Amino acid sequence: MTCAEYEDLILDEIDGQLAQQMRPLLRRHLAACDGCRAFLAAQTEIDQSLSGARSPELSPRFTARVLAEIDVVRHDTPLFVRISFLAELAGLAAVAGAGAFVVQHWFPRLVLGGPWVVAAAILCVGAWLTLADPPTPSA
Amino acid sequence: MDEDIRTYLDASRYREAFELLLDRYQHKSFRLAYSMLGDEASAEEMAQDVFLQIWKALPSYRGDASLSTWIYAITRNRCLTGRKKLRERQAVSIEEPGVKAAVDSRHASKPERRQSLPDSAMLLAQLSPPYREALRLFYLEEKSYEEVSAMLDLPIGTVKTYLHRARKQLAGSLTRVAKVMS
Repeated sequence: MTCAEYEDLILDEIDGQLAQQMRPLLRRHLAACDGCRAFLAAQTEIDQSLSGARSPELSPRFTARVLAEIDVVRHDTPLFVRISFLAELAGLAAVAGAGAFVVQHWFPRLVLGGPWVVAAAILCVGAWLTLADPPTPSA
Repeated sequence: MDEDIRTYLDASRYREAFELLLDRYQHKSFRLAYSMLGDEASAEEMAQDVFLQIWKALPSYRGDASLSTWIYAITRNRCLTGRKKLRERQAVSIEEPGVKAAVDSRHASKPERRQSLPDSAMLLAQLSPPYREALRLFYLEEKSYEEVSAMLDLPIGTVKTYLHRARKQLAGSLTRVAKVMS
């Protein structure tokens, strides 16, 4: 094994990941190798320095701040909800067009104002039903 | 693990789901942000943005990935964007009076520092961002390869490689400094 490979074993040992059966091998190498002993000393210093660094903490008001903010923020409308909403509108327009066509060709004198009144009426009722049930999920 | 949150989500009870999620993941998201940004105030600001985005997107969460994976991905993406802005904000000249004074005071205090442990911030500053993030998280998450791997979305083997390379690099520079000093 090379010293670079022993260095990996040293790091595994520091991280508590070194297999039990590898320990005697590492110990024997350390007894004979100045370079790897220096590496171990440097790693011990690095480990102590980084372990001793203060862990940052969130401020105690963090949760309250986030919860206060979400009270005034709406959810994004998911794509599939938006697509279904557009499909509803397209369907509505098609039904209104079909209604206007039927009135124009089969009952030209039945409705005052012609087929456009029928189409507008269908659109209004449909839009009212669609908007009364908004697609955006509420909290 | 997050079955309770999923149950609320399935019932479209987003507020309850969010409160549980916030309680469970705020520290992890903050630590991930800190590991990427290296600045406490910016990390907290970022964590707040992340949870607002999570709140907005909560109805779109389909459950394909685990909640933790989803939250970490949002945090990482926001931090990658935020890091660029932070770098621009921190780009101050060494000749500015405040910076010069700080540098001078570091030089002045060198003799006392020689006997003590190396400064952790100074050590981490020598590393490239992926190594620095992995090492910071490794110590913040109390040396768990698994947690670091989940937070950075890297295979455990890659995390281990990063951690080994980062510490070998630091050991190399400590040894060089020791040689210069002696």
